[in-house]
Amino acid sequence: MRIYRLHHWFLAVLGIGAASSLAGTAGASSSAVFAKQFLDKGAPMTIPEMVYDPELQMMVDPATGVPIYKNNTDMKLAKVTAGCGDCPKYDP
Amino acid sequence: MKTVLLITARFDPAADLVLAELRSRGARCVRWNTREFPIESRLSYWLSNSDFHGEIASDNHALDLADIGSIWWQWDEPVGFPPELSGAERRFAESEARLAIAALMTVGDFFWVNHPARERVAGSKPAQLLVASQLGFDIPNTVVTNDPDKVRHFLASSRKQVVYKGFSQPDNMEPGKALFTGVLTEEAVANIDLIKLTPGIFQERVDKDYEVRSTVVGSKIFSARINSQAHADGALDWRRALHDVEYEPISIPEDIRQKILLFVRRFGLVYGAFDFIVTPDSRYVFLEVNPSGQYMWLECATGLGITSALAHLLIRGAVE
Repeated sequence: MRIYRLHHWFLAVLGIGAASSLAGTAGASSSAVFAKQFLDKGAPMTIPEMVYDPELQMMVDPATGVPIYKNNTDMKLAKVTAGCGDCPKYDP
Repeated sequence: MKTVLLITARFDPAADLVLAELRSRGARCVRWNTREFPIESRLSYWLSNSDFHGEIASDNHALDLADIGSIWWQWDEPVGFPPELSGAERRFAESEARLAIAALMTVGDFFWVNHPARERVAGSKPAQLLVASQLGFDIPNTVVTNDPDKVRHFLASSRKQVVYKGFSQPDNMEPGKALFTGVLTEEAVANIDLIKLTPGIFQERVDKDYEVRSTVVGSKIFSARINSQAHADGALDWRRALHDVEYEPISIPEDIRQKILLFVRRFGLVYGAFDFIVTPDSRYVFLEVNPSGQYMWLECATGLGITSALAHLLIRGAVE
C-alpha cells in the first residue's frame, strides 16, 4: 500500500498558511499574476504516515491498521483560551 | 434506512470523523472519493423509456443510487487519471468525468450538504457581500475589478489602508504557498496593472477587536472567537497564525444569528463557515462565507460539536 505524505495537500484542504515575518505586506514580484505578491508559505505541520483502508474507507496507521482520525481530539492543531469549560457549544 | 454518501477525497480528515460518527449512530454510509475518480471507482447510469437506475462502485462498496438519502459534497474535481495522458487528453477526461458526476444533481431526490449548484453560486464573494448588505450586515467598503484605474481611484478615496483578496486559493501556483489577505503597499500598487488579467477584491481595512468564525449546520450555529489581534502574524489574516491564535467558543448576538440563517436560506445552503470581524465598538462586519469551509481544526481546538451536528443532519435528511 502507498504511504501518504500529504503536507501540502493538507494545507490545501484547510486553506491555510503560516506565520511570516512579512505578514500582511506585499513583496516584490515579476510575475504576470498580481496575486503572487500575496502568496506565503504554509505552516509546518506534522502529518503521521498513513494509508487508505478501502474496507474502513478511512486513513489508517500502516503498521496497526488503526484509523488515524476517529474523533475530534486526534488533530491538536490550535490553542484554546483557558477557563472555558462551560462555553456554549452552539446557538440553537 | 437510506444510505449517506460522502463525496470527498481519500485524504480528508473531517470525512473520516463524519464517517466514524455516522457509523457510531448505526447509519449506513459509503464514501466515494471523487478526487481519485475515475481510475479508482466506477459510476454507471442505466436509462430507458421506462426505467432509470444508477450505481457507484467505490472501494469494495457498490451503492445503488436509489438507496441514497443524503449526500455530503466536499470535492468536485476528479483528478484520478494516469500520468501518461497528454494535456488535451487529460482536459477531455477531466471534463467527461466532471459531467458524469454532475448528473447526480438531477437524477435523485437527495438531501445535499450542500447542493453543488447552490454552493457554486454562494461561493461568489461579490454575491455574498451584496446579499450580506441586503440582509443588514455591515460589510467593508469594497471594489471588485480588473481595472487598474478603478483600484487607484479606490485607494485615493479611501481614508484607511486597502487590502487585497483573491476569489480563490491558487492550485499550486507556487508549491507549498497559500494566498493571504495583504495590505496594498506602494510596492504592490506599482504592479497594479497586472490586475487586468485576474480580477481582484479590494477592501478598506476594518479595525479589529477580534474575529469570529461561525459554522452553520442546518439550523445550528457554532461560533468561535478568534483572538487574532493578540498575535502579530495573525492580525491581518488569522490563517497566517492558524496554530498560534487562540479560539474560544462564544454565543453571537441574536440579530447576527438571525441574519446568518437568512443568508444561508437565501442561497439554499445548509452548511457554511462565516467569517466576521468584531470592531472595537463591537460591530460585527461580514467578510465572507465558505460554503464548504473546513472546520476540523476548530472543532479540535474548541470542542464545538460540528461533526456530531453534521452526522445528525445527514441522517435526518432535512433541516430542523
